Amino acid sequence: MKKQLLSLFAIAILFIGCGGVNAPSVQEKVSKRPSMLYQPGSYERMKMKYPLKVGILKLNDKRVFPFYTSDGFFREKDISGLEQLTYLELKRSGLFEKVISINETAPFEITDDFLQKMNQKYNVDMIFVFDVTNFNLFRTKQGSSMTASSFVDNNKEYAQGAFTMELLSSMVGQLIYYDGGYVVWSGEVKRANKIPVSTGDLTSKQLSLLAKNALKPMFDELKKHIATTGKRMAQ
Amino acid sequence: MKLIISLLLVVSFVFSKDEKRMDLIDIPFKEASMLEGYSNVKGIDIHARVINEDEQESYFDEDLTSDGIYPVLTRITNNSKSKVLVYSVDATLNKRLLTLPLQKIIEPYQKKVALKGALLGAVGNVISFGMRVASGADDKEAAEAQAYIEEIRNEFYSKSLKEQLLYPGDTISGFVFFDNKKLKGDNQLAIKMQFMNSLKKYNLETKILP
Repeated sequence: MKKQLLSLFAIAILFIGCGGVNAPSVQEKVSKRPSMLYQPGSYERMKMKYPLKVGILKLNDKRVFPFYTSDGFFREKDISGLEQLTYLELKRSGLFEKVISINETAPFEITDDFLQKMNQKYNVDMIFVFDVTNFNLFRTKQGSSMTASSFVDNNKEYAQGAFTMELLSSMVGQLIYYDGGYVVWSGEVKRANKIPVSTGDLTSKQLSLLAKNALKPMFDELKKHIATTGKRMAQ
Repeated sequence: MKLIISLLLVVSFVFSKDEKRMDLIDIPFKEASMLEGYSNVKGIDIHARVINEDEQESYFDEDLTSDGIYPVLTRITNNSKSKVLVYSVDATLNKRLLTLPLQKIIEPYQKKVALKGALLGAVGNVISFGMRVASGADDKEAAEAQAYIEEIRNEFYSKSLKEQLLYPGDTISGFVFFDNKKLKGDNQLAIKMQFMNSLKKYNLETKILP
C-alpha cells in the first residue's frame, strides 16, 4: 500500500513539472483582434505633385517570417491591412489627382504590356507597386531575471525581468508611369517602435499603439519622400 | 537521512542552472569585393560561402547541418552608381532550389529547446520531491526558457539576408538557408536584383565557396 502511495506521489509530481515553457499568460482577456489600422488625417494634405490617376496594386509580402511566431501570442493571418493603409495614406495625401486600389498583384517582371493593360482596364496613368520587407514584432528580455526578485500576480509567482517589445516595419516601392515604364519614384521607408514592458505580456491596446506609432511616421516619410524626390513630369 | 539531504543538495545544484543566454558572434563586416572568389554583375559584387559546424555553433548555438540545413553566408556590395533592390527572399540554389522559410528552421529548433527544458524540469521535480515547484524555481525557469526561445528567433532574424535596397557603396551580409539533401559538388547561388530606375531584373550569381 505504501509503495503504491509513493508511486502515485511520484507520478503526481512528474505531471506538475510538465508545465512547459509558456510565458506568463496575458493579464487581461484579449477578446478582440488587435487593430493596427488608423484613419489618416485629411488635414495633412500636401501640394499636388502629379495631376494624374494612380493605381495601388496588391502588396508583395517579402518578409523573412510572419509578424510573430511563438505560440500563445499574437499570430497574424495576413497583412492586407497594410495595403489598405497605403491606399488611404496616398489617397488623402493630396499628391495625386486620384488614387484607386487595384485588386491585382504585379508580376515579378513588369512589362510594357502589363502597364498598357493596367491603363486600359483601370484608366490609370501610374501604378504604385510595393514590397513589404519588414512587419515583425520582437520581444527581448533585458538583463537577468534570475538575480532579481520575483513578483506575484493573480496569486501566481513570476520571474521579474524587463522586456522590450519592438515593432519593425519597412517597405520598398516604385511609382511607374504607364507609357514606356518610366520610374517616377523609387525608394525604401523604414520605421521601428520600441516600448518596455515589465512582464513580457502585451495587450491588444498596447499592440495597436505600438503598430500605429511605427506605421504613421513610416507613411509620413513615404509621402514626403515622393513629394521631394519624385521626378518632375513636364506637362 | 544524510544521503537524502546530500541528494537534494546535488539536485538543487544541477537544476539551478545559470540563466540561458545566447553568447553568439555577429557577422563581421566585410565588403564582398574584399573577399577571394567574389563575382560581379553590373557593378554589384557578391560573395557566398558555406560555414562549417563550429561556425554554425558560434553564429546560431546549433549545428544546423545535422538538422538538414545548408547555411550560406552571403555578402553583397553595391559598387555601381545606382540604387539596387536585392530580392534575397527569392534566392535559389543551382537555379532550382528555393530558400527554406526561416520559420521552418526556427520552429523545430525552438521545440527541441522547449522539450529539453520541460523534461529537465520534470526530472528535477521528481528527484527533489516537488521542492522546485514549491520554491517557484519552476515558473522562473519557464519564463527564462521562453525568453531563450525568443532569442533564437531574434538571432535568426538579425542574421538572415533580407530583401533590402542598397544605395551606392552599401553592403549587406546575412545567411540564406537551403535544404542540404539536394546538394551536388559545385553549388551556385542566384539572387535576383533590380536597379530601381528601371524595371529590368538581373540574376546575381556566384559559386558557393567551401
